[in-house]
Amino acid sequence: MSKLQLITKGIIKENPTFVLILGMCPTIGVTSSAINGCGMGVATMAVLIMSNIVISLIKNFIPDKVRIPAFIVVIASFVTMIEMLMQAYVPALYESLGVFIPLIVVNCIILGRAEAFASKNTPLDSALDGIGIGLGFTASLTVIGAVREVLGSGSIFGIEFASDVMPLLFILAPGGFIVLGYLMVLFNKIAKR
Amino acid sequence: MKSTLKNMVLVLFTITAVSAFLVGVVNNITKDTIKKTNDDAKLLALTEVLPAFEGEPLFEPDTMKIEGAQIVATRVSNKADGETVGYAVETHSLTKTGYADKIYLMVGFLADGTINEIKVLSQKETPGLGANMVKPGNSLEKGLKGYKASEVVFAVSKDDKRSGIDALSGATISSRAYVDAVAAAYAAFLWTTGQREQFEAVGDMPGGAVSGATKTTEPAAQEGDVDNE
Amino acid sequence: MGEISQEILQAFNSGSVTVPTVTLFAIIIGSIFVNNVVLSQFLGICPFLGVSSKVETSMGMGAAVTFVMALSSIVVWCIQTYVLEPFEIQYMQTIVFILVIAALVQMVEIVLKKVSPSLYQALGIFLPLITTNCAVLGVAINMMQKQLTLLQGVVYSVSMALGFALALILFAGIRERLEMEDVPSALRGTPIALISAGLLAMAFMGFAGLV
Repeated sequence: MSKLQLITKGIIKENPTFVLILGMCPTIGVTSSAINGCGMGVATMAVLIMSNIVISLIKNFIPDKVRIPAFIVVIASFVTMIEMLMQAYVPALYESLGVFIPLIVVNCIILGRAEAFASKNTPLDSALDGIGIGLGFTASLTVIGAVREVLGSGSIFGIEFASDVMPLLFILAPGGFIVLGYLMVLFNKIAKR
Repeated sequence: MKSTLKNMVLVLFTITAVSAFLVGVVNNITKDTIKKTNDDAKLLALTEVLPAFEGEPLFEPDTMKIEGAQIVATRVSNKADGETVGYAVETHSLTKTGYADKIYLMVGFLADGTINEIKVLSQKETPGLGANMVKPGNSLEKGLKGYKASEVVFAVSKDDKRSGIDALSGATISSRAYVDAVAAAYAAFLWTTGQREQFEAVGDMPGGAVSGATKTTEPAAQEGDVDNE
Repeated sequence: MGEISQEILQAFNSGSVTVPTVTLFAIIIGSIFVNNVVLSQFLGICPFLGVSSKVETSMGMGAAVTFVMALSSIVVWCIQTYVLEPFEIQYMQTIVFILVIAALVQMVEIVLKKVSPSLYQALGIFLPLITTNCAVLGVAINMMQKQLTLLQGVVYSVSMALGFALALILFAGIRERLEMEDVPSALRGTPIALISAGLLAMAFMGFAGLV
């Protein structure tokens, strides 16, 4: 697989949200607006790239039986660092993502990629894989967030155009499930063609 | 690598130690910035809830500690002539909680007790419902802003017919907590300006606690320095 | 004089707030129905979609999660209160909590295998999945944020877990029915599951304001 393919495959062919169906909790939990979705995607991507690189570097020193705990410690440390950096430099986003930032630890995408890719490949390839999957995740979250924001609060990226007439349901819990379901149908239709 | 007990313990211990060390380092780097970001936000809110004026401001914070929580009433005056511009009260929902968590507000009072401006410092309410309290011109703000606090009935109109404060649509719990926070701010304003009639009235009630000794006044603040400790 | 509630005035007089005591009953109803962990807090959606194709398996998963959450809430509460807070290292919360949960899951697995092989047979396959179930970590973090007492915290966690089990079992019932139906091909599988989950979440919205 070429280096470019490593990046692009995460966006369509192995899109973590729509194809692999991983990391559903933040996907629905934080996408009540496009900005939140995008911020969550970038934070996850940062953790994913760093943990992929580190895990790929230390993979040969880890006894097989304690593989998962070791990976989890690495991931949890990066998540904590990202959390502190976000609190310091983007406090507004930090507030609105809330509990979902520490929950990046248990995002199955990150542990999944560590297990399936980074523990078998070189650091460079693992980094590229992290970028690709991260981009795919960010793109999906931003799209879902944008759709829900337009339908639910009548604004896009915080710019209001019809704020009082839109059905609130879409930024609440049920809307999250329903929008994701229909977007998945749409994605499958387009991707299959 | 082989999964012998020695190997496993050694590797896990090393990884955990290195991780903990790195996290500690990042914590030390970001700690000051986080504190500064929070303080800046508070200082900004503090100046925004009071009318702008010419000249340098003088801040005199008065911290009221109430069981772990604290409410800070800051007297802002003009450094040049010492005239009081108003009181900015950093407050939170005291006897009620919002739908998700406490609601933190900055409330600005003019010297005569008029509610000048209310800013939400932090809230975790539902987007589109309770979170609408951050939107300028919402129904809660309309029922409070510009009114003399001494004439306001601090309750949502749903709970008390005499009140002119309408709850946010679909978010009564959040609205009650918001009004509760503003009422606490007004209580702090009365307390810090020495208007104790209402407190004394309650103190005489059967079962009412009359200690009143827990107020802690900070030593005179440095000029222009906001001490929120 | 503006009318301030008696509670606030008393709080200033006495320097302490009489917070209306949250009854355990309110915590239970609130956690199971109103703030259902899956359908209103979006935690644990992966197992919710992954393990919910049969009622039987979802019951097993529900039981395993309840068991682990009850244990982890006790351990996590003690660690936070007696280790992290005295040493002022709350920022290590995420790392410590996830390690506790992972270790606990392993321990439960080993103990169950020895003590009750039949229970292990029933729950065993779900246990490894629980480490990455964000509901367990999420509920632990939320519990600490709410500053509950140990008893309240345990009740809160168990109720949350029961809410998870309830949502899972209800949803499995719906999905067993869906298997029989003629669903348009594009919607088959996860999309229709998500849309039914949305409808279920809408039904749960009816509980809002109950407590």
